[in-house]
Amino acid sequence: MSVNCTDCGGNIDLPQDAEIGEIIECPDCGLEYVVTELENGLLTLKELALKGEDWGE
Amino acid sequence: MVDLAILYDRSESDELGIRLTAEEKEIELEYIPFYKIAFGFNKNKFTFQSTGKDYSQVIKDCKVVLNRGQSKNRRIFAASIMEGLNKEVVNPLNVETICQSKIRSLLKFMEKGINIPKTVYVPCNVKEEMASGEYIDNTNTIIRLVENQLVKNIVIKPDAGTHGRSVSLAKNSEDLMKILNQLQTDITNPSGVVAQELIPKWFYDLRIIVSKEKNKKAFCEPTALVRGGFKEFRTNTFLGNMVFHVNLPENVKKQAEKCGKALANDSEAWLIALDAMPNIDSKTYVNENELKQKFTELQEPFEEVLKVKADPNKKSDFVKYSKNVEKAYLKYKSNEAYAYIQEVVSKTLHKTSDKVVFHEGNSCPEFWEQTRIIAGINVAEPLLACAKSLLDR
Repeated sequence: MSVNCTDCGGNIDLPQDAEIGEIIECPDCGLEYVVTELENGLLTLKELALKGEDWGE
Repeated sequence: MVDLAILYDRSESDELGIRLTAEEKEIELEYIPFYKIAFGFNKNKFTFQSTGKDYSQVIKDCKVVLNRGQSKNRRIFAASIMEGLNKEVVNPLNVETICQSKIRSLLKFMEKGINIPKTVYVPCNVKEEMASGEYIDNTNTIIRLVENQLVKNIVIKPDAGTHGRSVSLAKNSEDLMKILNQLQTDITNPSGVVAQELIPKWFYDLRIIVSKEKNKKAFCEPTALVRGGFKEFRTNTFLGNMVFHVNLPENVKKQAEKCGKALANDSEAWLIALDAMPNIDSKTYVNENELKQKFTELQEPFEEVLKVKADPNKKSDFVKYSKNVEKAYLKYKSNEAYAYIQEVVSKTLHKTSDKVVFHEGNSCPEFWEQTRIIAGINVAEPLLACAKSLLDR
């Protein structure tokens, strides 16, 4: 399964043996995603939230 | 080959908003990551690569870069690198460097005779490490130095902080002692202590957008975002304060343009969000209890807005998120309590416009939700216009 990176549009492949909670980086820009589980049991990627210096308006 | 690029470490709604706006205007915008990449350089060449992609050609081809790094320090590195590679950057390095520091910004305002809060800077740190490894405590000396110049209600703030973090109010010497004892020397406050008089802004402050395209004059947007509330003296929206809009008086716009030019020096194109405060004396112009009641009435519609803003899928379906958040904000804005508070802001600002105080500039403002929807300013538009103006050499 693959997902498009929300920042650069690059292709991120989700390995077949990926585990929930595993952190996977977009190979094109390095943005981190965490493997999560959908309601139907399938795995997907969710962007990892980091504590940044600036966020929120 | 694309002339314009946007650079960021990670996108928030503002960066996605810039990209969406560019798409709507049929402006091609390349993307340059600035996080897990390696910028390698020696005498005549450079490379710019992630583990999976080489961006070197993208950078060679582009002429103008919109610098939207999330972190002040990363933006300074990005601007340095891009200017080192002979690119035009919005905002340029000198603007980023000045805006990074409250003291540097205030000095620029002072040079131009702009109203600023009285500020005291003490270069020494509260605790300094001795050669022995022990620490000397300078708290009492710093208190004496500050209190020689500021009487009561002293605001202590980090020189390079954001979002109201670590901004504290000392009502007396005891408070000042407690605040200084907790003050850290870190990336947001690298050296010394910044103290300011408390400006009686009543319950609100202003976020004013000023910009300049190449070969044009500085321009202040006629409407400002108002951040307000009675929770505490800090009015940052990050802290949960509400937002309104106000049409700026002419003299405030002129001062704002002067501020922008002061921070930008002779840079050809720039966009800065200025933070300013009204200076309202003890005459409050309306019954304050009634005003507070209106804030209470607005609480529920504002909480609905915050729920929409917290959408965990906002980035993956950004167009849908943008429509939902617009709907929520417009519902909040149509509330009678909003109109009441907005009218109070407008009247008091116009009555006290000659006393408005400017205190800092933000070189990479957030804008997609509140500034865009409430103040009606899609900052992506002047940003892209600034960038495009630099292409027309």
